[in-house]
Amino acid sequence: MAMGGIMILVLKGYIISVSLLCILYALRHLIFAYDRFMGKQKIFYGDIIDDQLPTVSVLVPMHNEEKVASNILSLLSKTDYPKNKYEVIPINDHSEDKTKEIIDEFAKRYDFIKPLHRYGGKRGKPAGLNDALKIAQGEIVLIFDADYLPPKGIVRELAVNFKDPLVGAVMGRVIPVNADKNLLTKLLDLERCGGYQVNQQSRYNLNLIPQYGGTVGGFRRDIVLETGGFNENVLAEDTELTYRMYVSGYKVVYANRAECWEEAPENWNVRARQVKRWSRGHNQVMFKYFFKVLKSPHLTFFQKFDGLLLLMVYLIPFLLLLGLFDFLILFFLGDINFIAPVYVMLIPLLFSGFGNFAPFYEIAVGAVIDGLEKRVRLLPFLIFNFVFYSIYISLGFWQAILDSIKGKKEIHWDKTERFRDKGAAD
Amino acid sequence: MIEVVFFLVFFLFIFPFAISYVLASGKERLNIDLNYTRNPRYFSVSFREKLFKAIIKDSLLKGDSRIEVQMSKKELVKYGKFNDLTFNLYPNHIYVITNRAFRIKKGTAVKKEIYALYDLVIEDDCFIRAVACDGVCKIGNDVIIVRWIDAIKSLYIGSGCSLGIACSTEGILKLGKNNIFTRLYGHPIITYGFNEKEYKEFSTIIEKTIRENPVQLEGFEDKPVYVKGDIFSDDDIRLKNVIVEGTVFSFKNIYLENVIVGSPERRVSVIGERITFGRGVKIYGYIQANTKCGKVS
Repeated sequence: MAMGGIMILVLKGYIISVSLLCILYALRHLIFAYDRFMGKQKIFYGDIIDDQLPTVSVLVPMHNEEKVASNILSLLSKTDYPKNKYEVIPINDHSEDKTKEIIDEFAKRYDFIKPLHRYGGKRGKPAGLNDALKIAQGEIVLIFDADYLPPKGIVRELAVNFKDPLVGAVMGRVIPVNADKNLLTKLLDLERCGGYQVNQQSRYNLNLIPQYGGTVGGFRRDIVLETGGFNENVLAEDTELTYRMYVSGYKVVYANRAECWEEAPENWNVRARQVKRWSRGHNQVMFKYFFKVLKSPHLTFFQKFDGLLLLMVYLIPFLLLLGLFDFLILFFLGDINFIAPVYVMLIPLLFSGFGNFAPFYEIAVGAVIDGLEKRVRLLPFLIFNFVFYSIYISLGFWQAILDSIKGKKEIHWDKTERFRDKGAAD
Repeated sequence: MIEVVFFLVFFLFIFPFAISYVLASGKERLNIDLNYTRNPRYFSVSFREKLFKAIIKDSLLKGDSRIEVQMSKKELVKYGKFNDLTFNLYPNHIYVITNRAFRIKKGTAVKKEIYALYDLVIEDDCFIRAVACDGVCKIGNDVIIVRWIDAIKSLYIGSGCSLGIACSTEGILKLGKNNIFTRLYGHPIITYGFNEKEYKEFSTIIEKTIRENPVQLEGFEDKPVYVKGDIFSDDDIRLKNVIVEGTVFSFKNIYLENVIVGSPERRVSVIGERITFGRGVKIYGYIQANTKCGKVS
């Protein structure tokens, strides 16, 4: 009896703990939404006009990107950034299609395009970036994924943030170019809207932890090189860099006006692989930085608090799934009362509605600010994403656990499939 | 009880989902202008471009002095030379004034934008929505600009004016006392009481960018502090008798008196939540405070 009683107590305690954690995330997102909608917006470095700008290297990692390579190189060649302070390094990473030929053609036309062709050594984005960092001349390194469509003014909009010597990294805003394609892309557009327009912006406003997202952003080259370059065995090199900056005493800045189009995944399989990869990488970073964040002398109490909640974002769905199993065990043990169904619904609803991946009031605020009046009506559909993400994030979490148990060093990079017709971008 | 809850959750949910999907159908995408490039005179440049095309196409070719132009909405434009214009005859028109020199009389209120192709004088106590001037623009005292004012050659502003959201010129922007502003752009911007001097000695020379919280620097009138880099702070910045080569940026308040920022060779910025200028300030470039939180004291 005693053993069974303790067991039931633990199981019930677990459900209550997870519920409390969800409420904590809910409050966090409510504060963000309120701040973005009603609060005072912080000044942007992007407003600075100064003729003295830093030198910039733009890195574009590419692996079999013939569908999109010419679009991004063409747009990057039209930048308004002073050309004597600017270079573009397309990183051709073991491509087997026509990516190499496309890059070489652009390099012939523009002397600031300096290709890096990699057909040996370790594959993957971090390895490619590390090689490119060795030849990059710019004080500031900006990164765009190959499927992105950077506007003419975005290089200046991002680079000017680094006038402040305390800024270590900067992140711009990502907007899906194919938002109208299908239900998935529409939902991703909503998520991006809430995630950038509201979540990142209010974290910037409130002096918390804006995140560098690995593309449409950049960092100081010397800091990254001095701290060992990119970790080639971490899948979320962007999150790793974010936390590296913070624990080293630098700021990460969110530049809401530095908007750039991306191609969002158009089918659920591709999205599933992407989410699983992000979860695996993010959780690797969580294992590495949890205590470093707690102990960092450079972060304030609220920054540590936000930093830890952000680190745990890809852990929560796994904890929630455990909670559901926990509930089922209690159900079969006959130890639930009439409020149990409410528990069952409460946890996922809190998480899907107010939790970290689909906080609908953040999205609603973002959609109002952006004027997406039709799209916002899809908000109830985010509950599907909750179930979908919970499964794949949990799988990613398990892989991260296995990586850390096995001490796995070699991690295979799973490239996101492109959907654009070759060279077509309106 | 449980059955009822599950039924409600899993079946009745279908209806709001279906309705929301139907309501959300159709195309809607946030558009990014891929050619956008930052310009501190953006309002007036865009205004001139739209107006100019319409004037050439409709007014000059058709000989009509009243035309319709597609701005953010359709607007009526009155084009031509005017004598002693009171702006009462066509109160809802944008005026394009082709007089070599034009004077807006004291106390005039204009609801719509004014575009002067040559020099323009706005006398005291006027209330004007927005002004674009291709020549020299002189503004008297206690004038209220609601949106923006831009002059290509130079812009002289009296005292006690409210300068709207943006006040800009390609040339010199001179400011009198007690003006309130949000954004200023000029090459240079000069406040009252500025005397051109050549300094031979400096009390201190700071070689690098200053990054402190707060920043307070004070030199002597004949021996200022010289900062070779930029100044950044999360807290207040207070400078008196200082020369700064680079940008001055604060997340809080900035106070400048007898200060030079930037140089003819380098445009820079002074950006803060609240900005207060005392006498003798000269800035090459751009100034930005929160809405109407900039003040020339």
